[in-house]
Amino acid sequence: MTSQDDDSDTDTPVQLLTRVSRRLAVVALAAVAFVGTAVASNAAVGLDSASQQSLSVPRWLYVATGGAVIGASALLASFVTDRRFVASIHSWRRFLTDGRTLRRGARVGLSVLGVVLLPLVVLRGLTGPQVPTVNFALVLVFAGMRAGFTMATYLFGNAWPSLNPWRTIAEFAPNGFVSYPERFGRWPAVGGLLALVWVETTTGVTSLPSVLATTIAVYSVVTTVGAILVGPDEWFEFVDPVSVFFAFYGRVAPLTWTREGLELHLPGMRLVEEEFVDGLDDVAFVVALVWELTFSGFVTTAAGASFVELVAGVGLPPLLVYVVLYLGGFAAFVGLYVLAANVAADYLPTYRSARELAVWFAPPLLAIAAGYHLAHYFAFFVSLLPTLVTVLGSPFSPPPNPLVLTLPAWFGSLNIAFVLLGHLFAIWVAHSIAYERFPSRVQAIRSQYSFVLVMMLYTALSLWLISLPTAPPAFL
Amino acid sequence: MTNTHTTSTGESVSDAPDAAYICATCGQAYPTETLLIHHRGIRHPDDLSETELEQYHEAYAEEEATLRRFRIIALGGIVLLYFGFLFMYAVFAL
Amino acid sequence: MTQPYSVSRRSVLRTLALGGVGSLAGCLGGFETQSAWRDPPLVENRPNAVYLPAITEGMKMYGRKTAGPYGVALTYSYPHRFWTLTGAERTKTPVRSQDSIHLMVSLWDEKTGTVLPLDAGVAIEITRGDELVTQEVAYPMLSQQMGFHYGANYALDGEGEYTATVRVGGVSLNRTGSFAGRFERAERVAFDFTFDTDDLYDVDIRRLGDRQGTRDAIAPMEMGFPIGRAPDTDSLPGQHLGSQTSGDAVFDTFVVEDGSRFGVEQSYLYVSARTPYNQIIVPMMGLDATLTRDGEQLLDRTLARTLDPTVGYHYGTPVDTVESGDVVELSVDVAPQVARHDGYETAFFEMPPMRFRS
Repeated sequence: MTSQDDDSDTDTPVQLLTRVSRRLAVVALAAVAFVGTAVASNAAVGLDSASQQSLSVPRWLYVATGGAVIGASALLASFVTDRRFVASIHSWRRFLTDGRTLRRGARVGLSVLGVVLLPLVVLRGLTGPQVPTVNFALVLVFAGMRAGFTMATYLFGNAWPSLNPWRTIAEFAPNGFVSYPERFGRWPAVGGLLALVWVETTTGVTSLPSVLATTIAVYSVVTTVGAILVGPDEWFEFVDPVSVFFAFYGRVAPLTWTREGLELHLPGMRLVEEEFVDGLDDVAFVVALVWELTFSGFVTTAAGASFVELVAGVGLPPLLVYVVLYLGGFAAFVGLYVLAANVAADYLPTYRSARELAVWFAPPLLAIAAGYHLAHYFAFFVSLLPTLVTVLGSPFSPPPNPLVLTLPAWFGSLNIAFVLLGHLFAIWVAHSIAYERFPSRVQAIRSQYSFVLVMMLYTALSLWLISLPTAPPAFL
Repeated sequence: MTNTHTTSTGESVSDAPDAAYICATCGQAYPTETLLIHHRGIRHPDDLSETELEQYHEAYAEEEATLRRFRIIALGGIVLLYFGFLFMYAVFAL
Repeated sequence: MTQPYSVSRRSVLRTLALGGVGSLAGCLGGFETQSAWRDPPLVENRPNAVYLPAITEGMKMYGRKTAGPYGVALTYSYPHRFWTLTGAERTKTPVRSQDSIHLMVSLWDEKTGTVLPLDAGVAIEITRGDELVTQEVAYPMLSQQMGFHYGANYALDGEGEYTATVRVGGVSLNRTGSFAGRFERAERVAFDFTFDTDDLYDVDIRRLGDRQGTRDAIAPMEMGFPIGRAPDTDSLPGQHLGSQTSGDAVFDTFVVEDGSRFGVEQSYLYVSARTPYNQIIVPMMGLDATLTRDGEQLLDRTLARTLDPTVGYHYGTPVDTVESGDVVELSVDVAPQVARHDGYETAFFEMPPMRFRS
């Protein structure tokens, strides 16, 4: 006889789930419906630069509702106490195909594509029209990779290891002359990610194709030399921020190649199963993914721009303000998360250290990051899709007049749905992780309190940011 | 059994204080006896002795009672949240 | 970082998404393709005056030819938004998704170099081989970069060889001096050109950053042909009654005592109107003048739009005499019916009357 049989005398999982999900849906829908009108009108108002007072819902209430939705979902998730049911969700899997040929073919195809596209990006960035919306390099890198490919990575699966042109090059070259010092962990990737986002925000790579091309050329040299020195496996697993970026986002995705073949999971559930986050470096990377979207969201709002102007008005150089804001905000995000782990370690009867708890509960943040990314980039990607297709179709002959897709007004409310959805997944993943790791279910529920609070804070912040009118960042 | 295929990350016994309750099967340490009983009940159901099994059932029933209390409080919280927000929307958004 | 020319996420969204386009036309329910340059954001709080736009584009030339008395140059730039004026109504002409290029015709008298603003009558017909690609009237237009020209956005059929046939209608304006009797005939002139997008993108784009919105104008590009500058007021004949500004246009009023040079028997009262900063002619106005002496109104007449080899495009009328102490009042009945590029669309629009004292 096993423990699971005892659960059945309270609620059948199906009954419970039905009840829970119905309530969850009602709460979430109510929030989205109410809040949707707030933001849709808000976006239009913001564009007309008219007063912000015409919101149908006060912004604080909208933000609070978002936080409450997360809190309520956490409470609802805690109603699900059937270990077997929880486990059955995240361990569900289907083998789609063993497709060795398919896999090998896709790998070769993607490698070739990557190796062709990289020089093309640099070439067209330097020689193509220096007009962002039509330049092959800019459109491919930002609409294609930063938005589209990243979305595909967490929605479907991670194809970057095959596409990665630098890996392909390094694998063909003699490599592995130095052994990678293990104690560095993934810290270089954390630094690299922060540096890349910094470059993206401040140097004009999003508007000046030649600057983008130069940056990519420099990045290529560094990456290729590094990968050849320490060997591509170590380099792309620990050092290269782009590869770690896609690898982490790829954990959210339902599809993955295993030894047996292509495996399908429920979305986000591989975050529970796999112990790929195993140190504070990984925690920092995950938090950096959440932070970079929050940061770029903040500095491009009118409120963010005027904040920077205000602080710079005191006499500080604007770039310093940005550095402090950027690194300080990141430190605050990490600090907040580590604090939550410390608090949990304190109030829980456990010998688990705060560090261990931080590592355990970091993967759910990836679902949050994916939700943010979708909220930030989905509309951008869809509207630039026609240009992306044109530019990819004729890299050497830019369109005379780039086309974009207009978006209906309700598209704005999708952003809220994406942010909330990311958090709901995160809540469930955290719940499942707690059930996997703690022997007592009461303890498992209580372990999530502080983390849920942090998540509510992140949601509130993020919902607030996407509701603000946008403005070009100050001084950049 | 689906949930036994993942094992908790190891926490070495030496890290734990002397007063710890240590699992005889896998060596994990727990600060209370109840937690150890839960652990053994879930992770090593086949290794349980008669007494342990009985202890586990007792602990489980007690946990179930705690969970029931928790659910009532949580439900209260949700109701409070729901009506609180309904009220706030009525006041501020209409 | 200016908006439509950046691929940063927010800038693109700001330009086209979520309610922004909804206000343009009811038909845009969503998921339609449109030009990324359809309607770039404007400078916030545009003054009702000439101002520096957010972005300015340069231009390049496909050719320069002579057709009868006319000098004709065909220049091009990116397709862009412009504004037309019908009576007192300003209409925005956004970039359509099929537009490939903004073609411009500059037209001047080959003999004197005077730019010729025809009220109507410049059209461009674009053919490829024997096939007509597009045919459209080019609007008389004012632009800070390009001065006075005729222009419109044209839809081409991809890259390749085209022929642009510019049709110039005759001039129906008053003509004085050596211009009398000239510019009667309509002319046609054809330009062969190769449309190459890489070449188009060599046209320079400047973002004006913090300067945008200030009351100033970009200096026009000099490409070796007249761009429609009004002559220096010092060089204009007659007695200068003064210079006044209305709707940000500069009006200089003169009286020539012996009007025979302008084909009139009495004196000749004329007004030269120009843009501030660049001194480009402001044509196609309905301009009324009254002359008051000791409280008695001696004249109330609409000034005739006139072309003259030395004065250039001006507004003039015969008048008996203008004595010291006389008051000339100018009122703009019809704002300049000339299309405008960004930076000129809010100026020369609401134009209060002006008083000049002799």
